[in-house]
Amino acid sequence: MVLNIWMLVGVFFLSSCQKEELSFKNGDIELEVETGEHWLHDFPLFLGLTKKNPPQFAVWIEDTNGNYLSTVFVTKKIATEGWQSNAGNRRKEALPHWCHQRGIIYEDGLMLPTKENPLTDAITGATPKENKTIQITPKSLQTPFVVKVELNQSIDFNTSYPENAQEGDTNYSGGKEGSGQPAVIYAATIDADTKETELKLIGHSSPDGTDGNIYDNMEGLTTATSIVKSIKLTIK
Amino acid sequence: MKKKIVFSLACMLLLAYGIKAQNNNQLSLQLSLNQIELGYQHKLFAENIWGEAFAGIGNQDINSRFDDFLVGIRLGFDAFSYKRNSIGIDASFEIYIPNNHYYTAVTPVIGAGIRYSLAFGKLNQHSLLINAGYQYGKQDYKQEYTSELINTSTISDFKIAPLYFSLGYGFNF
Repeated sequence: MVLNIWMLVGVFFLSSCQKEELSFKNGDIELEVETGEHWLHDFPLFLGLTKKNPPQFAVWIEDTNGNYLSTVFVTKKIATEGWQSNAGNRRKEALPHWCHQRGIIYEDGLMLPTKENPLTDAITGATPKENKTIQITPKSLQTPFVVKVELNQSIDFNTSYPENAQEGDTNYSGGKEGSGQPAVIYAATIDADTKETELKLIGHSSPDGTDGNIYDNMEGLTTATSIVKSIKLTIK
Repeated sequence: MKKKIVFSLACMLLLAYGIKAQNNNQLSLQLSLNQIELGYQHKLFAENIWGEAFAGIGNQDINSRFDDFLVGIRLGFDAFSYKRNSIGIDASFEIYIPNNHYYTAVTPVIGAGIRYSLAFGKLNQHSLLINAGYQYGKQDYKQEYTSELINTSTISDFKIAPLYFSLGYGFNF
């Protein structure tokens, strides 16, 4: 009896391990985010113990004039105010370029979705610890358009963006529970002839999240530039 | 998939129900960082072999709330016993059902662990239980979003924390 049950358990287990796959059709877009050396960042817990944290990121589409069209994917903490151990910081410095491009202002005046009004117009997912592939199937989307990805690690402090920077300083990034190095932005323009391209690092966001500008001076950024190894885009 | 779950649940209930009545039963409550389990344990075949059916709640999915459901069975062997102490090993199978708005990923989990049990009370009616072990459970899931402009989809995976440590109380009857 017991043996039979364990055999059934085995069969169930094996049959449940079937792998989900994306199936691409002609014209579909495959976006592959390949993790870099600093994809995982040590987040201190207690007694010197740390936890490996992946970055927060958003993927979205704009037209070539910089007008926001649609979000594709956003990590859950940003999309739902799902922060833990953030001491009340809403983390406006996490992905400010995406927030400002999207342009939706919430009840507290910030452009970040809240627990009460989480983001619903895109896929919201757990931050992956490994490479991520996203399929985009255009419906009424016309070329040319721009695909952007903005990524940020929490408490990724360095000498240029230190923990003790004061509010108002140019390198202030939200204080003790803030960003440290600002979010980095990658982009690629897709036109009718594009078959395969790699998103380029075009700059960083506002360190304290007060504006949605792109800053192309990358001096002072260290580990933030290797959060991803590459972001490739292929038109099927 | 649902049929498989119902079938497996039925097997677990049959295991719990079909065991012949003996004197050595235990009801237990076990707590860990990720799970809270209620279990019914019964001796099987020999004094030092036991089976357990358990159910509980967990917080291992994306929302980190204790609102996931789990159910499973465990088969154990008490390898060493001395007075009121015993140390056993066990193998388990459970089904973990995450509960959130973002995905569905019913996940089979297998595990193996060590259980230390210290009986106390006048008739050894109570037990302190300490469990530690390894478990493996991973399930891919697909997420999709559709708007007027685009359809998007991606595959992610849900993984159970591999190491567990729990403390519990058992009532023996």
